[in-house]
Amino acid sequence: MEHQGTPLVQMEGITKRYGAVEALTDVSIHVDRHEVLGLLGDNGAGKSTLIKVLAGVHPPTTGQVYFDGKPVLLKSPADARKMGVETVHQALSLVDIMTISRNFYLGREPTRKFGPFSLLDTRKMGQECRDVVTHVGVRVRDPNEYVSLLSGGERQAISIGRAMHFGAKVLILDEPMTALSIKEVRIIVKEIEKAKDEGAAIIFITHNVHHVYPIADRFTILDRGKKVCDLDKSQASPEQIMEIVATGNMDSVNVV
Amino acid sequence: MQMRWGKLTVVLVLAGLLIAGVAAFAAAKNYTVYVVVHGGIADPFWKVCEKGAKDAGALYPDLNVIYTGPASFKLEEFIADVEAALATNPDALVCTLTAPEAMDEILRPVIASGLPVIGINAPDLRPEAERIPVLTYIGMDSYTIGVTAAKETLKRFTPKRAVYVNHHPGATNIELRGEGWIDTMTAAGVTAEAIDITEDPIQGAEIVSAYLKAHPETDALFSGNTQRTETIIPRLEADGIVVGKDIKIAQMDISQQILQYISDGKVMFTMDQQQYMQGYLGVIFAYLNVKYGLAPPPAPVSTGPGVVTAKDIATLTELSKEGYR
Amino acid sequence: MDTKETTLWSRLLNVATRFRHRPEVGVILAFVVMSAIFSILSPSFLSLRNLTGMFTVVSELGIMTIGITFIMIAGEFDMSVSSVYALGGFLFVTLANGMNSLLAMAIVLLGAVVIGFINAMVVLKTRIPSFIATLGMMMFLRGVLLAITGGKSVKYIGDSIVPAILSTRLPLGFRPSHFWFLGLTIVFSVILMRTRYGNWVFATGGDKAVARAMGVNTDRVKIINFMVSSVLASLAGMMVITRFWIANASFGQHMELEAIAAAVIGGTFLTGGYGSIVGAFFGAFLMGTVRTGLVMSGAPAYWYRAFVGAILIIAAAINLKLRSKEM
Repeated sequence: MEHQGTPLVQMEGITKRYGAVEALTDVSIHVDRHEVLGLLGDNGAGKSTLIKVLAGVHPPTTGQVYFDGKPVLLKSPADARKMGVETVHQALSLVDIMTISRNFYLGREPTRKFGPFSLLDTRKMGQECRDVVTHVGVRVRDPNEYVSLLSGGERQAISIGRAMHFGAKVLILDEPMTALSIKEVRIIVKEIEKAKDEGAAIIFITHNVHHVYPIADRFTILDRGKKVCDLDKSQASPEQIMEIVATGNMDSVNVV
Repeated sequence: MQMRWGKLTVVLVLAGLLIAGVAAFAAAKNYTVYVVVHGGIADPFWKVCEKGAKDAGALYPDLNVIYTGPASFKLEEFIADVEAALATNPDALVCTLTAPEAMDEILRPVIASGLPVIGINAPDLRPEAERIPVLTYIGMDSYTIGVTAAKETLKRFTPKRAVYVNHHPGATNIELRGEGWIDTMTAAGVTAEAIDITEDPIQGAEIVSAYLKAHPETDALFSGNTQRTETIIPRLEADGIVVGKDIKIAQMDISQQILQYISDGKVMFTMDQQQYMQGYLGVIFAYLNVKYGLAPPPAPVSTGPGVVTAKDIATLTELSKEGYR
Repeated sequence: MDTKETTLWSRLLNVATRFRHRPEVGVILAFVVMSAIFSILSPSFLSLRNLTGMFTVVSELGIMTIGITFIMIAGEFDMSVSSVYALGGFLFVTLANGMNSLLAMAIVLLGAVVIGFINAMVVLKTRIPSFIATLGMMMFLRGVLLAITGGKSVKYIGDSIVPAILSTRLPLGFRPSHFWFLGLTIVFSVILMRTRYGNWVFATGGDKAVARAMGVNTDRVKIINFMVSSVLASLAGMMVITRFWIANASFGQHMELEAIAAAVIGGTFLTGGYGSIVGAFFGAFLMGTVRTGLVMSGAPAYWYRAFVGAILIIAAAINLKLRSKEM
């Protein structure tokens, strides 16, 4: 997919050092609105490290992040969230022993004033949550049901729906399809496409190209902290991409 | 879900029936006297008192004696038990006056409204005008216990250093024994102090062992509880101390083991407060007062201290086995 | 005839089923049943005199239970509450015997805040499990208290201001502590169930990593809840002192276990993330009234502890069963 003008998110020359270990060396990526970028690499390639910089978890040792062409300083996850960056991580999205609606609004609870006190706006929480959750195709009788009753796919769908509901401009999906059934994968794919339509810039992290190939527009492949290549979907087949991921270079692959 | 509730109900009903069995038996009697002691009720000392109370209760067919107290000494539990007993509107209450200030609020109103209340074992030793107006008190003067223990010890030798081990921190009467001991020893020129050996027999023994290491010249020890002495002596012997020679022990109350220790020369003597009589007379006086309006002998009805030495062992050993001493 | 009864019964079951989902259902039911049994065995169990008497013991245990429930839901334990209870009471008496009792009370509460803060710091900085860290604090404080007092009791000879606020008997046998307990139950229940902070407490205890990922400051939540636990424990300690008029180093021993039991009976998970203050309220009632009920029924005194233990196990099992269907 072509992008006009400056991409929404640009990460230029990102290097991250931990003491003597260099986890990332001069990596640059970009992703635009209405676009899905597949960020691939084998385990230990540096995908999570790179994405944590964008999510404000840790700063880069050198390098700069740009939003809409403007340089930004992300000092904390709260800063990143304010810029519209939302991360969806299977294990870190929902609290099992809390209800769906409490999970949905966790950290962003709506309140109503009762005299001098701010109490939870439970009516809004119930109504809005039910709407969004139904919208993402999860059938729940009651937003006061516990998350532990949901399947993996339903949880992911709700997490993505949650991120979009709260105005995510950049959606980072960290291995979103691990351990999901085929049916559930389909639900997720629908959600991701919805988010893409709504204008989100989506970074899809995985080490398995087959998860992301159908919906991605572009791919960036990392290997041991360095960028191997940027590819448009039209340039390579899933097998070729897998080969690059496995070998860590483009030597044995002929791309278009 | 219905099945689960059903099972639950059955369990609860069965539990209730178990208690009901006891209560029904009790309800058949006409007069209920509650005996509440500060415990712990499993302590052999209190079992003798309980036997006294129960034996007295068995004398009269229309008398029901309910004996209770905390499993191990705990002031708050004891007070809650007294309040629970009073809440049943018993015909009379027999109880230890372990913490008079705390019990003022509970006992004075019921005494004022006419409930017979008799104190046993632990007295209210505040100035007479301030004391809780119980019908009578049966037991010992705690301070005198300490004094007697010291005097009997001084009869036998003059210690270099004397210690009192407090096994019920918080019980006024137990503290007063220590004061009696310390005052008498100090007046005779002996260094004396009290140490807290907590409620735990094992911990307490450790504390005594540590104290003796810190003050090796200590050669006289006064213990107010038989169970505690029974853990202290082995602990000290494990340290290499010859009990009966390096350190001499003055004891309060009787148990079979203590009598054996006296035979062996490890304990100099013990003092008997005849707790059987405390329970027994407490119940009798209460019953006679409730039923016939008879006034018991005025406080204090002293049940000791009788000093027990080697010559009394034979008789007492039998009776101790049977639970009377 | 038959159809009508069935409909009524099934309608009742329906209502019951809806409420079945609340964590407090088990304990309220148990409490009602137990009280019914006791009142049959001893008619004066439900007398005003006895109810107010039990309410007093329940309030003191209950206030400590509220605090411990609050920290347990956040995923941590506070075993030091019993020592803070005793030390708070002792400190209060010592201070109030020489100064205005209100000032003494303020100092004690402040001291409790400090202890709570220390507990939190030890847990957060050293990664020692809170069960162990606070157990250490419990033993340390108790030891300090024992050392200072030498086992002796200290009489209260201060003014009557704080006693009047906390414990002094009111008409009909009620005490201010009863209202404190009711009020604190309402306040903390609202905080837990109806505020943003309460949601953070659930999340911190339910899954700390997720809570942090969603932007909750879990460290701050734990610090605050540890402080709350200590403050409430010290408040309960001052209540018992102003009722007994003496302070002693042995007060409150093992009370932390009773409070935890009350919390668990009331529906709070030992593993955190789930619980109820209202449940703690009734849990404290259950724990606090069993002994009295047994004494009044004339049950053999040696069976009390066994009975309390049995109740604890049964109540916890019931709660687990009720929860398993919906989680």
